[in-house]
Amino acid sequence: MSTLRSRNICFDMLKGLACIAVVFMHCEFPGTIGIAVQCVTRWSVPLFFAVSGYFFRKNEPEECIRKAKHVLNIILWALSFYVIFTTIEHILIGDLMNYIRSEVTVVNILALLLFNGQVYVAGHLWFLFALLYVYLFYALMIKHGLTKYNKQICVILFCCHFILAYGGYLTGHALPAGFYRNWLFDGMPSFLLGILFYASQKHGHIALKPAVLIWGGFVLAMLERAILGRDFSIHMGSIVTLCGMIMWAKENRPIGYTGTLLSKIGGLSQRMYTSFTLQCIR
Amino acid sequence: MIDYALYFTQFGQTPVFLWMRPILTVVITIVLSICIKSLEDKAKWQLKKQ
Repeated sequence: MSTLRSRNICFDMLKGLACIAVVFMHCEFPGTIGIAVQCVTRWSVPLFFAVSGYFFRKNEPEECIRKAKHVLNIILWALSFYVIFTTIEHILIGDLMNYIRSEVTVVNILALLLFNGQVYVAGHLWFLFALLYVYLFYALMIKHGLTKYNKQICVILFCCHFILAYGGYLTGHALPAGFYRNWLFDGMPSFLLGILFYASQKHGHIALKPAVLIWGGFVLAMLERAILGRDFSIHMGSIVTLCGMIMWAKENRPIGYTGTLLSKIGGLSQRMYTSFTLQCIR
Repeated sequence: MIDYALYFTQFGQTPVFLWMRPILTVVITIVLSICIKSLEDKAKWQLKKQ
């Protein structure tokens, strides 16, 4: 019984792997290898949403609000730090006023409020805003009894994501990434995916081998990149890989020395996120 | 930050640096995170002590 209640270290390991993947995604290797690495690491951000969903256990609006408050607290700390950092940086460069004029605009503020866009500080903080909105939206879903449609909502939102991203691009009307890389079409379906995977654990539905999904997703993501000729925030293959990874983590198998090391890195994920952003500012 | 630090050095402009940059970023991110975590733990411990 004790093993059932013990911490699933595989999820920590996945988070560790995702942290490294996020760094490689933003700080690319040169040439074709860099493009390939970027393709196969696109599962990492949805993974953090999915893990949040997987460990969301109390289906109550109050729990969502509690989690949203926690995220808001992190946002305020991170924002305060980065506003000061960015201001000092632009004072040193000597373009502070120009930067403020170009960044603090009505369009950018609207983009931040609606699509978690960037205003003044590094755009990497979008994830925190998205997670905040995800919790608030899920609180509304619970309140209005919509959680019984989790599966359908998850599929619809992922479809919307790819219609906006791929559809817009293929029809010659490419949309800015903020239209699909946001809390609603990226965060929410990934979060729901995590919840659905936890529910399937309870009901014992496991059909495919995780390794097939993980490697199949990598191949699919690279094919998408090769066919479409450009990078998107997530590929369909990334979602396949993500499913495989959660399925693998659910089994909670022994992970060896490297896995333990990665799980320790996973334990630092929140700090890695904030300190990585520091390094990304240019 | 790595770019800033190495931009003006010869090493910062070599192809080797382009390959090293992502790995260096991962290492520095982990080290910074450990520092932040230990600072947080220290602050919590001080609060508890009070």
